[in-house]
Amino acid sequence: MIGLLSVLFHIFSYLVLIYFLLLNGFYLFFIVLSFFGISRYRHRTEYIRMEEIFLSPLAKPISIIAPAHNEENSIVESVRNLLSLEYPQYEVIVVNDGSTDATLKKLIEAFSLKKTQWVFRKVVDHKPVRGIYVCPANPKLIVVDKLNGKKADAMNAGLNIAHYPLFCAVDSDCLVDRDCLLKVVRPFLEDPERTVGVGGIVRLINGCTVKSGQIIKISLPQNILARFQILEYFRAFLGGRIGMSLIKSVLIISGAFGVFRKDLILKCGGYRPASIGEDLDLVVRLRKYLHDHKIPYSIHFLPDPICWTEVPETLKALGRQRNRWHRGLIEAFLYSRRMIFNPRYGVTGLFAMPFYLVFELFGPLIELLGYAIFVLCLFLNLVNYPFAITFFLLSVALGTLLSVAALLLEEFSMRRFPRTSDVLLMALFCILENIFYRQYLAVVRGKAFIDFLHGKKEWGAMDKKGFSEEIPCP
Amino acid sequence: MNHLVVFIRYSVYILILFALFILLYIVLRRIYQQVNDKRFNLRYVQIEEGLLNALSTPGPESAVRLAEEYKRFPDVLTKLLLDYAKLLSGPEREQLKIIFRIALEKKSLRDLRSRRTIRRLRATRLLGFFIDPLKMGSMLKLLEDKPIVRLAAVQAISQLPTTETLPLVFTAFEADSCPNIHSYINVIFSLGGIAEVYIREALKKPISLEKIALLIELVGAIPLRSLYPDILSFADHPEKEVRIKVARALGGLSIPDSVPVLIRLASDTAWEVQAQAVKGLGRLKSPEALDILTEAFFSKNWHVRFNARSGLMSLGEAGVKRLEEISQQTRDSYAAAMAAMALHDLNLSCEQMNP
Amino acid sequence: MRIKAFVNKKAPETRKSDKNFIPEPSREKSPSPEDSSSLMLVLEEDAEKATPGLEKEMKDRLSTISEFKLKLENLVDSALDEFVKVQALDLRIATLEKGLSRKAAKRRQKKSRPAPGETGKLDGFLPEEREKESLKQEMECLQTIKHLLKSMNNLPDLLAVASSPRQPGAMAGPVNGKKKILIVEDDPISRKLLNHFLEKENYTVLMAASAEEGFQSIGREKPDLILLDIMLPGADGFQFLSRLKENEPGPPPPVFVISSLAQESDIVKALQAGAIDYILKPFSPQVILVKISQLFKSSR
Repeated sequence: MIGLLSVLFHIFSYLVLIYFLLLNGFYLFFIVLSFFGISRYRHRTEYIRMEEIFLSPLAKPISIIAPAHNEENSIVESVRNLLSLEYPQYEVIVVNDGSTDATLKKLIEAFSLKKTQWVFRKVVDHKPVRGIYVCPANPKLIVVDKLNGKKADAMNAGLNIAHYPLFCAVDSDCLVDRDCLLKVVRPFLEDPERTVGVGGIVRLINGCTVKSGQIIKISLPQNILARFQILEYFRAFLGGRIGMSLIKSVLIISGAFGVFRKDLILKCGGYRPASIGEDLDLVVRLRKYLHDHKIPYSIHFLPDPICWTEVPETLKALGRQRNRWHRGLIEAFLYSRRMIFNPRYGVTGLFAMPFYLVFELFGPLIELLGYAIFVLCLFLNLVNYPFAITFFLLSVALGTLLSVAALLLEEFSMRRFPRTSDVLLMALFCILENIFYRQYLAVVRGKAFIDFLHGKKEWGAMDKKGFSEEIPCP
Repeated sequence: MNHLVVFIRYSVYILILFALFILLYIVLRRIYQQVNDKRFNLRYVQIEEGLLNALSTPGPESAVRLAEEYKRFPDVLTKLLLDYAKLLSGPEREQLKIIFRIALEKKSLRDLRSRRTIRRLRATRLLGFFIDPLKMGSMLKLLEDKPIVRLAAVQAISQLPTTETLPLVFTAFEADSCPNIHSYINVIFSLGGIAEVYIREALKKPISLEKIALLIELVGAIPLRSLYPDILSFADHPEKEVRIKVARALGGLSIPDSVPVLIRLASDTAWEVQAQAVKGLGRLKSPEALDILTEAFFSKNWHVRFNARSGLMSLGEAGVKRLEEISQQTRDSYAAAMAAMALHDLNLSCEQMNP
Repeated sequence: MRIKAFVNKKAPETRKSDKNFIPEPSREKSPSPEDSSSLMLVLEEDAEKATPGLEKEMKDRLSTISEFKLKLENLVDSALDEFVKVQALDLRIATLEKGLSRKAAKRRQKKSRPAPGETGKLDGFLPEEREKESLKQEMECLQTIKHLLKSMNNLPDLLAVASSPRQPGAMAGPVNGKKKILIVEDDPISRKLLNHFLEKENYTVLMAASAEEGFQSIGREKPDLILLDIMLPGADGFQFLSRLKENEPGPPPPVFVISSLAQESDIVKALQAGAIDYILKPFSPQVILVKISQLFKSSR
């Protein structure tokens, strides 16, 4: 019996090793691809003038849709930031998703909003709208007040009211660069027929100094968790998504900032209210729709930071966030399971979705299984200590290499840490990340499976600090 | 298993070494860049002061002196010239041209033949501001280059619109593949009225529908009223996309004679054409269009109704009267609600103007 | 030339005065210390309260001023002589110009394409033109004296003109040191450019990188003119203009809009919102300076 178990554990060890090498191999491959993507982008944009896009006669107008729920501390500042973007023609639709605090009141006071008698065409369904407000002094701003229905529902309300052919989904607690719309609309201008969606890099605002709605100083946050998350975001955005976009495998355009063609999104039913990770679900369903109708398309990912978001700084809030993200991933894949390994859906079905399924969705389970079997082996005295230790060191080394490579990508990117000491400190965190942080996330994401099976639907709140004038490094 | 462990152990060493190597590279690169940037910025500030003094001094002597003194710093001069060229015109731009000719022209012309794209791009950008018409020939080869360089060359050539260079811009446009043609929009738009003759000729050529649609749209955007008869001929084109652009362009041209054409297009089979035609009629503020706009309010298509709403809102008292009538009718509640919305918005904007 | 020497003698004391110049502290918004008549007034007022120790200093200052006045009177005398030359120079320049244009026409007929690689050749800067330039400079200098003669009664203005940090040959302009111009522009290069040209003309330059900062500056400094960009962070230029109209208790300062927005609708919108001029980017700073000086002249 022990012999059989030993053999099984050996086989399992090899499988885990192969899995592990494949996973990190792919990540390294994406990082290399990203390197080329970033260089190419920099070459293209170094001598391109943004004002040419601004002054272009055929620049497409954009509707910015910003759902907000209980954000009285930061909503006015966020909306001011959105209203001062550099773009010839756009509107800002703030959807107050049934806030129980003074979000709407603050908006009405700050912008002297007047209630209108607007009617709109309900192309996609959502919870009832209580009122639509406009700002007579600034016709760009529209505020929609509706009953609570979560973010996807709020986005649908915004989609119904939006006037322009492109829309930009933003989180109302994110800070966007002033020229973000100019950057993100370039693919739509260069290839208007095929471009259906464009995303960009999301960076962390934790630790940065903000003035007049603009980042004036980038620095490392003091919080350790935030530092780990910086590395994660570098790996995911700089390393992962840019590389994947080059092989047409982007499955997520972050809900924090993404621009899409409104007509196509409406045709595939808008946002799905039942979805937990609405950004991933949207892109997957969009790809499905376009493949089903044989519409040639391209989804772009810009190696340019355009959006700055606040990340949780406590283990509890981080755990809730990652739990929700993973439940969203599970739910979206379950909904679109027909696409997996289906050649009808091209690269998406044959590579992107299987990759996400095996390495992202089941990754935490395999990792946890590995730890569990290791503990079992310890009890049964079946551990091959040299192998175990070497394997552990290999995982730390590979993880560190990936993170350091992501730091290298950050060096070539547009807005980077100004101090070299910050980079050295981050290098230290590259190693430390593998000791506790990864394991914690594996546990949280593994638990997401259980929560999903129990039908957990709530979002979980995060204590947001908000950003206002001159926040120094915390 | 032992071999595997040994292999993994050596792999760990290699990976750690590789990570350390990358880290070292990052640190060294940063230090190098910081030193370089500091030096660059100091020189930039120094030369900038000289440049500003030269620009504000009449006569070319200061510019010549500056160029001679600092021509050994081409990178800094390039950045300075690019930064200031986009702001300046007139005699000050001529001073910059003098500096370019003395310090950077030879290098830029050489860089046009460089194998590195970034160098060709940079040279093209500089030459775009300062090119000597006699040296335009060296830019022509770039019209067969990569799309990004080609576009920069087209933009540079269009800065000096002459009877020799403009046909080149349009030849490049006609020959270029469809994904790239949208990049020509700004170029042709910036040419303005000068592009008229060439657009007229291009519309007669057998170019792709996409290019025709783009040119028609540009006619409306610039606007080029003299090309009105030329785009009229496309009003009955079998392709919906072309008719949409014609309706849009007619709205942009705002020629009163185009009202009957727009009225005809407002009954087109395609709703997109209807919507653009109704929008154009609203812009023209033509009383003849009142009936069409009122009828469009009851269209099956929401976009047509919305544009009809905007149109009636801009037609003054007559439009308001029609909106009131529509808001009071009962056969179409949506139209009534939309008319009420328009009247309310008009009230709001009146309050805003006369608080 | 004696006059040139006089001007240059003063220049070192007041070179780039606007940047490094620290005005002497005074009770109220007093004029610059070079303004001797005002200084005299201040000194006379202080004389009653001054301690004996200060009397000597005041006497020294008064004697310096009288010397200065004497020098200026000598200058005026010699300027009268030089003034006659101005007319003759005018004639000479006109003749030269005619000759040059004739030669240029001949050159154009004969001219062939230059050899490739022939760079650095400054077309048009022939010996005749160089002579023409130097004559022009001389004439401008003499015209400075002409202005001095015309404004003989106004001693403070004379002193300001005589001691202004002019490049040799630059036109003497109006007394610009008192005019405040606010630049509301977020692009640092545009700001630097405009600041340089305005300071050279002796305007006091205030800068703001946003509409909010602009309003704070207006409240504090009360500028005489605003140069406004449309594309600003936060509130844009149009909103700035409408707020300016509403907020100002008296007539708001005149506004020149300097913007890259070239659509007719934007220009009309800006002018209707209260701007008195709309200057497109790219622009010529010299043209802006002329417009500004015309504005201030007409407002006087």
